[in-house]
Amino acid sequence: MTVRKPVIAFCSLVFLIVTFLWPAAALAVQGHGGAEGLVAHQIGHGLFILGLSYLFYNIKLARFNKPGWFEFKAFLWMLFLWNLLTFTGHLMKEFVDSGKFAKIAGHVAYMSIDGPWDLLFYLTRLDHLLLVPAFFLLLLALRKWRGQA
Amino acid sequence: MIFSWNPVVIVDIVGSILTLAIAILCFYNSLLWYRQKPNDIFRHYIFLLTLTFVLFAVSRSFGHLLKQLLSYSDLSNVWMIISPYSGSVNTVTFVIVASFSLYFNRLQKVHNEVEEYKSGLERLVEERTRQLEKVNLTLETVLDSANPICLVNLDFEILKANKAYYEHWPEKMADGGVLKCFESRPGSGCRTESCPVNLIGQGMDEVVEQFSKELSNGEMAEFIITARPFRDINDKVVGIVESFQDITVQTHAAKEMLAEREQLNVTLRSIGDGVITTDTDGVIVLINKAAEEVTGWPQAEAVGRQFYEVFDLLDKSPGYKVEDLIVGVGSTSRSAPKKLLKKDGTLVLVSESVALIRDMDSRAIGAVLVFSDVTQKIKTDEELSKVAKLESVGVLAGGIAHDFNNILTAIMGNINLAMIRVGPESEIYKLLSSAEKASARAKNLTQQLLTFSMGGEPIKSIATIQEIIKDSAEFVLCGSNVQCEYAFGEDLWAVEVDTGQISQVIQNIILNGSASMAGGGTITVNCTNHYNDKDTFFLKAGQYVKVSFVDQGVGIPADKIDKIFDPFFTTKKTGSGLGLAISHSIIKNHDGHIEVESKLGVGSTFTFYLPASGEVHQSSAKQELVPNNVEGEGRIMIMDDDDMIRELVGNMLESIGFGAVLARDGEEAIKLYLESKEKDEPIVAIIMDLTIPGGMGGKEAVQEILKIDPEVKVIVASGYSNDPILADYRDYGFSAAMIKPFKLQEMREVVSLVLA
Repeated sequence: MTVRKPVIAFCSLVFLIVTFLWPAAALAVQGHGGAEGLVAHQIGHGLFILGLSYLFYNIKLARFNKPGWFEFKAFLWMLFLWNLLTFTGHLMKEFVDSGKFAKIAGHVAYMSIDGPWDLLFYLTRLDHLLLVPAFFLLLLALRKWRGQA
Repeated sequence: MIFSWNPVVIVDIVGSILTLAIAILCFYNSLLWYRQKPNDIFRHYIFLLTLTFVLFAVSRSFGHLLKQLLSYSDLSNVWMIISPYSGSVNTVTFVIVASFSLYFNRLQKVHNEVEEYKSGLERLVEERTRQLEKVNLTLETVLDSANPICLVNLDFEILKANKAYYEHWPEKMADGGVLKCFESRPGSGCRTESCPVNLIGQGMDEVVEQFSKELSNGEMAEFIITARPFRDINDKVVGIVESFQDITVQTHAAKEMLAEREQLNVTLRSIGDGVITTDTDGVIVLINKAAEEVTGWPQAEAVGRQFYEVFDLLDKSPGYKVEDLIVGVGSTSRSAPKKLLKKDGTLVLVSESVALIRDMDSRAIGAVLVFSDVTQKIKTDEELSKVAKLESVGVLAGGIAHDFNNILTAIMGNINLAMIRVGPESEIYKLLSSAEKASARAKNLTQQLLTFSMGGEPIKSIATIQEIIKDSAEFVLCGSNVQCEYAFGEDLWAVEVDTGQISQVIQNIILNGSASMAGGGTITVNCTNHYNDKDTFFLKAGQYVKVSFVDQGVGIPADKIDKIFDPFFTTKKTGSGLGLAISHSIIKNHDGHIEVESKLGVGSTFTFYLPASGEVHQSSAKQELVPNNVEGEGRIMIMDDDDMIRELVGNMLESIGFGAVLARDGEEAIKLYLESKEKDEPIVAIIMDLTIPGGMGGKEAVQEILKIDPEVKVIVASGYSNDPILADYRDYGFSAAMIKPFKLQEMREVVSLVLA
């Protein structure tokens, strides 16, 4: 039993890699091109947000008050906000005029901000300003938990 | 408004790097935290959740950095190929995070349940632990309050012991199987077949033995050891549990009690009085040695019998009980002598006292009977009474004998002189002869009376008893129809006796025997050596010659046998009643003993004991040869306070040719002796009275005269025939002794002997 498990896992991993790297048309199956990737990603964000909300709700119900849980809840909040921000960013990207971007040597160098929607879009591109503190809070929470033990 | 796009790029690159770095740190910390309690399911969950967050952060940061790198490397077309994969992975991480998040509640509940269950278990364990500790403490307290107890395995190793054990063997404390039991407490039974470890190991369920064990201070103590098997959970015997009951004090107390009991038994058996103890039913529980001897019942036969079977009084009432004795006699006082029938049928006189034995609650648990054989005591009392009677008679006799003898001396002397003067042819001579015989009888009577008087010493000499017996018996039985048979032992010891007095004793006994055999018969005389090994009331320890006279006469009635040695007691019409009394006195004066046994119709046996001189004396005592009577020549002084005696003796001396010089007392005698020496008219001899009332007697006067003339011949004359001076006259300076009254012939022989 103990010998077979790694073999099965290895075979499954090889199958997955081959499947993803060399996809082929599956004529019998419906196609998934176009905006399906964005929709799937946004649904992922939605699930992420739902998961975080559910987690936060349960943690609050559980009334964890030991050190670390405050930071963890803050981490969830920050990640929740980050999801909203990036969800918004993904959504707005589909509607932003490409003429608003000035490129130099093939790279975007400027953006013309003509209204609040343009500004909001610009801000959504700075999502790491939320993500980095969020993970820092997670690090703090883990350290405090570790310290309790 | 134109915004530079550089901040976006910079935040993206730096933010990705920071996110990646922090994510890695988060993974590292979560891993460490998880490893602290890997069995904690909630912690495991949080670790996996963190891992999904980290996975999300890594995939995203990695994708953004790759994008920026490829973009600025003019490989945007490559990114366009990779981008869907990167985005998909990122999406997947969202789903994973969301999926894991959904399990939080469930896992939290599981975790809570587990925690509650765990807490419950912990509380239960804690409670049970407290209970166990309490029980353990109680058990330890009980164990420590008990006798020494230890647990020993089958290899003799002490596994556990309680406090009391360590108090007994403190220096050898060694739990955990380090010390062997026989090292901890060596003693009897160790490593033997009776060792409890061996016995329990062989299958016994319990061993209870008494052993001596050495304590830590080196002293030995006695223990009762109770050992039982110690079993494991499979019921297999793996050792023994031993408990030690220290009985050293009890053992010592028991030994002391035994010793005390033994001492009491020895004391009881050693005391002179007989002791019998009974229970309340009168059954004998104990009988001592003296009681064995008195009753004739040995202890082995007496114990368990009714006391009246052993203590068999002749005059007991029917239904005789111990209570009867107690009620009749009282608690401690001795009763009047009673006749006790011994086991062999003989009778002894006993005096007893009885008392109840009571326990601590004053309940009667038995009776103790103390008694003694008073037979000998009563005989002794009778003997003492007899001696007292003899003494009183002796005092009376001694008081009158001297004067009586002086009178008799004068009577007999004058009769002698008258007979000489009138001659045998005269009619008066016969009358005087009768008067002389009467005087002689009076003299004998006086002599017998004097024998009683105390202080009189026999004039002893070493002699063989056989000759005295034969001479005396033949003299007495001459012409009689009674004959004597003699049974003399070989090598009979010689005796130191007054031959005349002992002859008198023998004659008295044979005369009595002869008188009891009117039709004739035989008197058997037995004579043997006798050794008395211890002092008794009658005889001191030493060598004696025992003489018995067995006649075949009518015997002496029992009510009279105790009186036959009393003075003036006689059953014969012509007897004086002094013969046996005198015999008793004579034997006593010789430090001997006389006794009689008699059975009516069978005969009597008189037995006396005389001290032996310690040598065998075969030759007979020879009488000093008296030289032929000599005719007087010279003067002889007579010293006597009695005028009649002085005149008579003077006449008697003159009748045989001596001149007489008369002196009243010692002073006059000395004076006259000095005058005779000065006048050269020598005094050849002096006859001195021993006692001169109010003046110097013979005892003192002879010493003074001997100072004047050491060669002087002095004859002592006294009516006190039993005076020691007469027995040992030479020791006092006299040359001879005469007992008043004396006849002319007797005086002539003594004077002749002195002057020879």
